[in-house]
Amino acid sequence: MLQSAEQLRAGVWQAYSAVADQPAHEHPFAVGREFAEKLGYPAEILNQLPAASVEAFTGVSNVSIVAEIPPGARVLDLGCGAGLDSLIAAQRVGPHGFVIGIDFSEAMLARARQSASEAQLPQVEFRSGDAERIPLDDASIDVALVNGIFNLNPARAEIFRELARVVRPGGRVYSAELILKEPLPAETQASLTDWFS
Amino acid sequence: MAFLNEFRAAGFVEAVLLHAKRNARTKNQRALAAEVRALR
Repeated sequence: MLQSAEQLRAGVWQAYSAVADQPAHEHPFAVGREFAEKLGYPAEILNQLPAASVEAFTGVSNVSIVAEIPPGARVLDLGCGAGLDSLIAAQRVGPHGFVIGIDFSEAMLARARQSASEAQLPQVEFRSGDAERIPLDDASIDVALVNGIFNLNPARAEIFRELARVVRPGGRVYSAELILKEPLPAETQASLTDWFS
Repeated sequence: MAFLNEFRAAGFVEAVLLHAKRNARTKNQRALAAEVRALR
């Protein structure tokens, strides 16, 4: 059955908020520490980070590890979820940089804020917002991290435009997303059941 | 690649594929996890 953009958005919000509420339950996509290690997050880094972020991690790759993030940089983690990439970025930018994590799930943001407090990383801040309307000034970001949100948002083109607006000239986006080697059947493209996988 | 072209169409001067490989995020045999770097 075809889903409207609003239904897909609501379904994604519900699925990710459910991860924040009950990360150990079964979900339509992989979650948590074991999954993060499979994606290449080093165990010694995960060991240093609060469980509130690690156990509710979802993503497509280890973008905060792969990315070049210089000390002092201004970093955006768009679709930050429980904040794992934001926290790693905050450690990498150090006390003279800052990191802003943005997500549309308050349940995920609560985990992220708890973790930032526990890890004593005042250079990271978490804000509620939509990826297609990023609540930041033009050219205010040096490095943006985007770990697997494009396929989950019907307003896909607007996300690219917003990233181009907030990242300064010469700045970089590091992004991970699932891509297809061949097209999906039409019924799968618009089905919430298969939207995540 | 469509994902790279979406960055270019939005105004990024360069978009390069860093990796594209199967990983634990999906069991779909048609899907790969792509890592991209885009320069504004």
